[in-house]
Amino acid sequence: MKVKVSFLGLLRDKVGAPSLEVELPEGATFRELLDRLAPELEDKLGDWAWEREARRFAPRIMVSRSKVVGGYEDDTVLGDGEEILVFPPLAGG
Amino acid sequence: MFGYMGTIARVDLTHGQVKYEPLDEEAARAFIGGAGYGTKIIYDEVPGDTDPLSPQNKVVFITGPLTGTSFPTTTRYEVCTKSPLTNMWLATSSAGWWARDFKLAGFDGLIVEGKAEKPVYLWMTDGKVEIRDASHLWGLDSDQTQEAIRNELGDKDIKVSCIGPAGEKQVRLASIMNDEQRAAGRGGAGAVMGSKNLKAVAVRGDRKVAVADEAGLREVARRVREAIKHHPVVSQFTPYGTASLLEHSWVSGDTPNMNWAKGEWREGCEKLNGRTMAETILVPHAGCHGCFIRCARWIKIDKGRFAMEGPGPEYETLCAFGTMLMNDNLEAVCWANDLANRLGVDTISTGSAIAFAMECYQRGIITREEAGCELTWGNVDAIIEMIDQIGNARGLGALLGQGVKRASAAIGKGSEDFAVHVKGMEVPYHDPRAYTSMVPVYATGTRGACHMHGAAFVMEQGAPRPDTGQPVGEIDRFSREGKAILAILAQDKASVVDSLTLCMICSDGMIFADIAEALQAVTGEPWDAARVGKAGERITTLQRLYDLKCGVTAADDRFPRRLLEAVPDGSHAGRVPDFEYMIQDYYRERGWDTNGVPKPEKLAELGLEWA
Repeated sequence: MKVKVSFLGLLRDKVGAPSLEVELPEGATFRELLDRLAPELEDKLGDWAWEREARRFAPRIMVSRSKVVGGYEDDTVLGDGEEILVFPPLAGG
Repeated sequence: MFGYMGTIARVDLTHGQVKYEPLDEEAARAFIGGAGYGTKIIYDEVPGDTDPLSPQNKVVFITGPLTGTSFPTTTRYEVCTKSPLTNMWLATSSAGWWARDFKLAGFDGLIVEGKAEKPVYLWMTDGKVEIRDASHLWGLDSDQTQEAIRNELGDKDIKVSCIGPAGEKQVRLASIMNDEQRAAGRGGAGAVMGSKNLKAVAVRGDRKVAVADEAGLREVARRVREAIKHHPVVSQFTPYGTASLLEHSWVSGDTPNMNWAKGEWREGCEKLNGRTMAETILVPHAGCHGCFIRCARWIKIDKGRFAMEGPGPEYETLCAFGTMLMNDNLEAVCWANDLANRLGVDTISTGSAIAFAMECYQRGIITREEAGCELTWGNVDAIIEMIDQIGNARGLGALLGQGVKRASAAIGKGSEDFAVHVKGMEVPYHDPRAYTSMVPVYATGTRGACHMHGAAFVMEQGAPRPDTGQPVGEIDRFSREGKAILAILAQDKASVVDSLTLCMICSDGMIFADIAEALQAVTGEPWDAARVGKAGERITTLQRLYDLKCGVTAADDRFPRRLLEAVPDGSHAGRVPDFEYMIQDYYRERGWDTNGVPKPEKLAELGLEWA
């Protein structure tokens, strides 16, 4: 199956693309997705957005599942065609 | 006193007199300057029952101790008065270049009182104020007014703060404009100027601000620059402006759509956001004086009906004339922004008034004949027509220009339910149903619903508390718990920032300890984080006390019905904040009684026993 990780705001500039499409086996979890992306993201996102040792997004970064912000755990099972939105916090404006 | 010029000018327009009064140093120590010092003046001199558009109201232009120094993003001024929109306290601020020249002309503040017989403008330079005829300027838009005064005085570097036609016609949404369409937008201060026949305040200055510790000030500035450079959000304001927020604010539901009835509009936000602007119509241009962030936009549209070059819209305006009206035409928003700024109306309140009217039209409460156009969602012709009507106080716009509270009261037919305001101030575009810390911020805002006076939602997303520098930890953005304290911290920080006078965006990189260090370096006074926090609380509380003098009660600390209804879509769908709990929690945390009145012991603690 394919999932799409879309990067918004500053993260898009850091990654250098609006999204990454990842091929995963059926029933793959969010943990498996992070492990697959880790080599690329730890290079591109830097420490403020990516925790190198834990291989996950830093707490200040928001990850949205079906637009429920913060809806992903390591064991969350992903679905084919799922879009995962990753974005920084807001500020006043 | 270091950091201040030592003089407040007082102009009596009724008698054509100018006085020069010494800065009240005790007040400066307690209230800093800017909105804080200005609040003290309004509290002392404008009775609560004053008609805001009468000669008895006063309007104060004022800077702070950081303005005109080497500290970045401090070229700001506050305008304090009694608001004709909310009938209570108002401070509204603007950036650009004007504030530096005002202060370096030799003034900390300017108090304007009375009413001139005919239109006038003030010319302030080298420690003097001159009252000059402005009859020939009456009717000019805000850009034309600035140009005409520069030409008349023969100096292209003169800075002008002025009103457009909306202020002249005393439209309650009228703004005060300066430089490249920078706006002291909210609350109708432009109408107060118009009621006094005051068209503009022109300034030019080259004096110096005496600073106690220049090296110390530069060191704090260096640290703040560094913090902003690495700030996950504010660093985006350089390439994409505050409009960058639209790229992702739709995910959490922060950005309202369709008069707050629709929770999410991804497609619209993708067409309107700062990245899209940068990739299509943005051209390089200078930022505000002394700014390293440079969030201000400058756009160039080469062809088509919206062809133009000039200042571009920021986040709130993109919501006002974009998402709130279901208009995803970025070029049309730019055109609408330019029109609103030239006429001199607040883009936030104007957008909300049009959104309100569009919903009335949709429901059949307003007819095409009454509107003078097809007031359908996303209709750019209707949007432009309504801005013109509001700015010129004609047709339906004459009613909408009084704000949605008055308009809904006049229209009736249930329209009060979707007139989204607090105490008459249209709610800015950070949805409190998505980040509930904004519930007490908006409900108790001393100038009405305001994100500039309390951006608490940033702490819900990991920004440090200003008092401790530590994040608040895990917090549920929909919960009712712990939000009052975030609201209080954000409001009190904003009170200090508006008193310094410092850009709110730059202040995102500062906590109270940084502010104390900057204040101490400028003034030589012994400031620390605790004193900064206390000053912020004192200033917010005095503003509240003035509102109470104006007749505000706990019954006015309410939310519009629309914001207590859930949206059907978006990540905050189905969520309704527990308003009653949060408002009482807020009063308790503030040390106010259950009616929202500060207790005597709180006033004593803040040195406000006299108030």
